[in-house]
Amino acid sequence: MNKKSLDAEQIKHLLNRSVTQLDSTTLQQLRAARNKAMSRYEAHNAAPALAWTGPLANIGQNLGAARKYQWVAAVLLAVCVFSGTVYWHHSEKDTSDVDIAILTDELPIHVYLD
Amino acid sequence: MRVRCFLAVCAMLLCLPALAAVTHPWANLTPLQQEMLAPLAKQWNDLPELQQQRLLKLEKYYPKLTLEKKELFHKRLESWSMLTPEQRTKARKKFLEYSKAPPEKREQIKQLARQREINKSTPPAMGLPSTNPSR
Repeated sequence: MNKKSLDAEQIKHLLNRSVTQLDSTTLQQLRAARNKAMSRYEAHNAAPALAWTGPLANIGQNLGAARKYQWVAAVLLAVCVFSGTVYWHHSEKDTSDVDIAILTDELPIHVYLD
Repeated sequence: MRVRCFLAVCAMLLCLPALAAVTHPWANLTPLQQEMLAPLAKQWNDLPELQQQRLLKLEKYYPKLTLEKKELFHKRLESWSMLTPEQRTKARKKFLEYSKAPPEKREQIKQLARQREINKSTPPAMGLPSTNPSR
């Protein structure tokens, strides 16, 4: 831990100085530190940090996906609401057969109103 | 914030069909529709959208009517459109009841209606005794 922080301090300090002033040993150390950091970064991306916990390890990742699915579900629900409303508006019972019969029947309209 | 946005979208979608309910201007009707609805030409544009839709649905039956029936249709159309939606619903319900009634009962109703028509058309000044139809 102490070595790491020293390395970091050293890197910080060295970066502030001119590159030309670095000696070959330091450059080698820097290169080695960089390579080490890169290899760690790749390993971290390759396997989830909580992989050892089994299925539970995916919870963190799944949360992000779940948010996406929430939006998909919300859009689907909105579409369903819209379709339902349109259907309800247009599902007025067709009474045209009765209407035409009343308007052309033998009996006058007022008979059906009494 | 997202929930509010979603609710707003839902509310908008719910209102959309109502907002999109476009009336059918008289000028946009087909010649057949105009012929069928001729008695309503003046008031057509002021009729509620639902009523316009219902009347336009009669188009599929109108061409099949005989000339006599067409005349009768035109004669009754205006008074039909003057009724309230509740009255029209009541008339439809009664018509269906009448249609399902036995022939004797239907004949009885017809007789009664004819009698009423005669009484109405007979001017009281002629001094004829008014026949009170038995119920």
